[in-house]
Amino acid sequence: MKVSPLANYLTEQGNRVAHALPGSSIDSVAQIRKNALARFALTGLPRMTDEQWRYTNIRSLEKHQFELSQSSDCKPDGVNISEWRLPKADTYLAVFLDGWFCSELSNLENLPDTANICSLAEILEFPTNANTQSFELALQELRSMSANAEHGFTALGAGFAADGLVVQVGSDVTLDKPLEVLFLSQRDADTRFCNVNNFVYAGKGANFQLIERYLSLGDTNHLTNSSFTFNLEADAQVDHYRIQNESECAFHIGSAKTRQKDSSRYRIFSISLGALLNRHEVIQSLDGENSHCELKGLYIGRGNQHIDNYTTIAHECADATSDEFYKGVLDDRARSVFHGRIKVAPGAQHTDAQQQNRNLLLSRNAEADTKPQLEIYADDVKCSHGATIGQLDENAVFYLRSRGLTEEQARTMLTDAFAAEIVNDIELEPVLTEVSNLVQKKLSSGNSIKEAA
Amino acid sequence: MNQSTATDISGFVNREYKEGFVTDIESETFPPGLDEDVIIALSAKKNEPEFMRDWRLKAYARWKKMTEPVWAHVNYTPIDYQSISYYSAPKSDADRPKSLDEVDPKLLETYEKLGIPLSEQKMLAGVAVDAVFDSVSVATTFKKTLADAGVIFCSFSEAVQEHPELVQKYLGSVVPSGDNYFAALNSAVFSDGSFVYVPKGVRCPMELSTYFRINAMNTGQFERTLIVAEEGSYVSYLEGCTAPMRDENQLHAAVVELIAFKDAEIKYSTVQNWYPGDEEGRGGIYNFVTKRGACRGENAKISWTQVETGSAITWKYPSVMLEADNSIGEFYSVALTNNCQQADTGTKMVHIGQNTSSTIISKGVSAGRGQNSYRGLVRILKGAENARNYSQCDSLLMGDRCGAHTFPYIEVKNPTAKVEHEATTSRISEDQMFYCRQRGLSEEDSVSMIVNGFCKEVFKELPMEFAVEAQKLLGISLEGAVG
Amino acid sequence: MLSINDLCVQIEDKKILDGINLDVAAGEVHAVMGPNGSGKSTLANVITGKLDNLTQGRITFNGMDLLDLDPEERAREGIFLAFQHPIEIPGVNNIYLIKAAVNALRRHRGESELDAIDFLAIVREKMKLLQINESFLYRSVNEGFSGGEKKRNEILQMMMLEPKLTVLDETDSGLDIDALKIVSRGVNSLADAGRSTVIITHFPRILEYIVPDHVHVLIGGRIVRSGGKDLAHELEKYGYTWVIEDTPAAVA
Repeated sequence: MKVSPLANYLTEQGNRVAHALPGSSIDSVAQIRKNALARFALTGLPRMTDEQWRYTNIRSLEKHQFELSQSSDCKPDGVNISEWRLPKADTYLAVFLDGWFCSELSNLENLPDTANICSLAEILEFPTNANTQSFELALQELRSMSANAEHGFTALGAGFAADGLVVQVGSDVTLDKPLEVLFLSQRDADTRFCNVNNFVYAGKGANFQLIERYLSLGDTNHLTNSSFTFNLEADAQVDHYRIQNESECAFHIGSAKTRQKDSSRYRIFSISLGALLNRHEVIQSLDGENSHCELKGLYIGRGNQHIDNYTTIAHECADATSDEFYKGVLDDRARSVFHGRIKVAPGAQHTDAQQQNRNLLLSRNAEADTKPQLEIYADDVKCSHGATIGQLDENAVFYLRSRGLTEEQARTMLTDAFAAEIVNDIELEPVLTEVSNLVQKKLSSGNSIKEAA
Repeated sequence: MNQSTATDISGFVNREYKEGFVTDIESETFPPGLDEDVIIALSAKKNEPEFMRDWRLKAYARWKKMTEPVWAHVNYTPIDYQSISYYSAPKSDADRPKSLDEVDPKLLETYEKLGIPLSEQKMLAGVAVDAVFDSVSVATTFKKTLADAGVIFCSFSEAVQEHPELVQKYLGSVVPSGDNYFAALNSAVFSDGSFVYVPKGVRCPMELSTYFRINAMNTGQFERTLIVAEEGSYVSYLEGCTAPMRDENQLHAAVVELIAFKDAEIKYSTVQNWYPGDEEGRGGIYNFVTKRGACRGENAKISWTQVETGSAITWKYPSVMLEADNSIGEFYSVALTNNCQQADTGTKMVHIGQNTSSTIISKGVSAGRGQNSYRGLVRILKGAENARNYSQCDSLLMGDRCGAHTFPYIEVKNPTAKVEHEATTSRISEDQMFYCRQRGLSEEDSVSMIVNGFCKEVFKELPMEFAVEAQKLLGISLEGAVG
Repeated sequence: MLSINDLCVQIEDKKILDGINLDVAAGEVHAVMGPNGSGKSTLANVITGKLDNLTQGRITFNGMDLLDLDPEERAREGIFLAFQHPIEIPGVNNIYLIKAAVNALRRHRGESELDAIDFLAIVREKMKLLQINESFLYRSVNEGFSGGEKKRNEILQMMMLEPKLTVLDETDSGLDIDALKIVSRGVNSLADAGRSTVIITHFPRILEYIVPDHVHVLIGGRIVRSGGKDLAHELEKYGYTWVIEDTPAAVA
């Protein structure tokens, strides 16, 4: 396979900087990075000929020569974190600057003893008896990323593994406050490669909320490559809110991979607003009976934004349920891709899996591609999917105008209502408020809405 | 649960193939293998003009550079294209029969066994039959009525001889010779098929029907069908297939091209019941077909209806290129997979013109270890103002060892488009079964009735007598499978 | 005609029917009344063959051991159940189902199948009595039917199949008074000395239109009291609690 110049560049860079990465003196860590890079050197970056990347061309990304963010690039001085953290929210806060954990800006105090949250870099650099469990978890997941990399970005993630967050919440622990993980890109982050890997373990019956946010301090064209893995033991409940609102020049590749045991529940809201090229993967494996997951997504694109949501839900055992609903609004020349695969394994009887994808095209040059898939190997199941692509219902627009609204008001109101169907399901108040504001702002910034005025 | 396992539908797997026998007819057959010389010989044998030979050779050159597609959700042992014989004809080829009386009685007997009514009744019913035995047409009827209307309905070979200008003009204009691996192969070696030309303003006075049949050992079948409907014309074409029982896999790679001009309508219906292989998946036909229609004039309409119950592997996506404004494309499909059958079938609707609309109704029935995939593409291009598509894909699973899969692709580049896709999965409920049985119906009849009900939206698109045949076929396909 | 002896049914450790004895002679109408959850529908399901998890007991029908027969065999012998919740069967024409059922029965009896014209003539006549519109025949079985239409459809099927034993499982529930009258008229149109009816209900009202010879009160899986049609009136007056209080054994 032909490997692109950028891929070659990154491979060489990876080998060059390996010695300087956290934990490089530990053989097992160094070996994982080495294997992952070797794999990346073979596969390169994804191509549109890969079925999973059928509609996403990363050409725009390949124009740049990205340089891995160094720990010295992380400059917390002058960052007023209260401006950036979730407003009106009391959270445990973990802040990353260009991919590096920044303890000065974070606040992880007063966590319960049974919850352990720390930086991956710290664990790799200074493994201690106290963080053995976290070290093992991180190593296991990195190894898996390297060995089972679905595509080049995953291999790259393990090959450049440096920092991230490792979260362990013990059995039957309920966190009193949400955990907010804030990834900031700095003003000088142009062509910087911010690589983070985050590993979350929820013990039996554990219960907490995690807020994952991406923001940019400037209009930079950095590359974020961020992975999250979740392991939910039986009866665990995790609510995951993800807001990606990076610079509209940036490149963002993110993923959430979750394995669930019996009667666990995982819910994710994936809100994609920022980045020029955005891909978010949600890979669910329902391994336990009566486990349940909910995937809600909202993406709004304008300008030349490209937004790719790639999701798979594997029902590996009986009596699990899943509910997936993604909506998108595309203005200007924005493009969206939705891939939603539901797989029901042999024997996974009584599966209930529902999936919906709805797209609203506001502009002549916008495009939406959708690819819902059902792959079913058990008969006593309830599975369905639906997908629609269209524009605002002109009858509804007319109805509102007949009630005295201007055309702009009518369109704005209907577009807002379209997005609200996802937004309003957010239960956590400060997240709801934040997302509502961001969505409103984003929707009113597209040209078609403005032109309708 | 009652004792006779009324609801254990998983048992609905076994049936004997009713069309299983091999006709012993001396065939004039090429030795297996494929190269340029074989193509030149084939073309010469058919006495083809130069343009045909060159077209074949060009297709062969393309095919040699291509690789077999692997994206379909099917598994099969690789095909050895050099072990296939690319020409076989009944001995009577040199002296073609002028009427049924001249047709080899053994051949007629074969059709009798198959229940193909190539007979008075059929003619009275107003159906002309162009039966393909192996690769060469042996009987064409009702030519006069059609000729009076100006309709050309003949074998492809005959069309090459009699109407070379039409063939040259339209052949490959919808499915180019290098379109895909199997289409390229077909273009290089196609043996025969049907040709239909309906002139301007003519409503074809009868349903045109062709029965295909694979027979001689090791003979790949490469049919080529071309239907041209000029402005304001209408034609309904029926295609039905069946094959004798055998142990070796047989490749079938047909190409069908439809062209509908302004205000013309083509309705193409298929009932496919080729040998599906035995319960363990041995034998059975590989059915890799390229079917595509083009709406070349305003208000043109192309409608595909298919009932696919046979073949070991089906790879088939009857498609419509909606090139002209206000044109309409339809796809209605029932695909049934039982035992070890695999089907990967669906459609492509490409919206190019304005106000184009398409409808897709797909019903998949999976039983035994059958794997049934719907794969469809709806593409709305930038200029396709006010395009509409509605797709519905329903799967019915019978038993816990089969699979039902849905892979739609939807691409929309125009905001005025309205595209809706829905898919559901279900099984026959125990309550439905009991309700029917409480009314005195046997388990088999109950299942057959419920499955036919599930498929009704598709059956109602078939011409009446075909619909009856299709319903029976579905019943047979699930027969002997209870408990 | 129908004879039930010491019938016990258990579903997942729970005794649903606990020693039912019931004899229905030819020409008789029996009402089985009881509150929700008393086992009434289970009784119907056992008679028709939906359930076969008997722990003990015998059911005979005209001397045949019913438990040896599949549901369709029982149907062909003349047992008809008007379902409490008739199931929807998408895509299957109502008329198609009825015709297939009628002909299955006729074949069983060694009679020739009805052709489409004769069949249509008969079904139209019955529909008139039930005040059903002809479009009804061409809709999918019970799909999109209102509650009342579903019940009328059950009775139409009954009239077409002319069963020897009809079991009406809460056919009256959800019907307004006009519909109830129509449905009753349909049931009564079939009444003769050779046919029997078992009405399962918890409201006595239907019994004003289809007059029972015997009334049985089913509570907790047992018939706690049997009597003539007057028993229904008493039930209406005093309710089921009266029977329970009056019959301590039933409370078990």
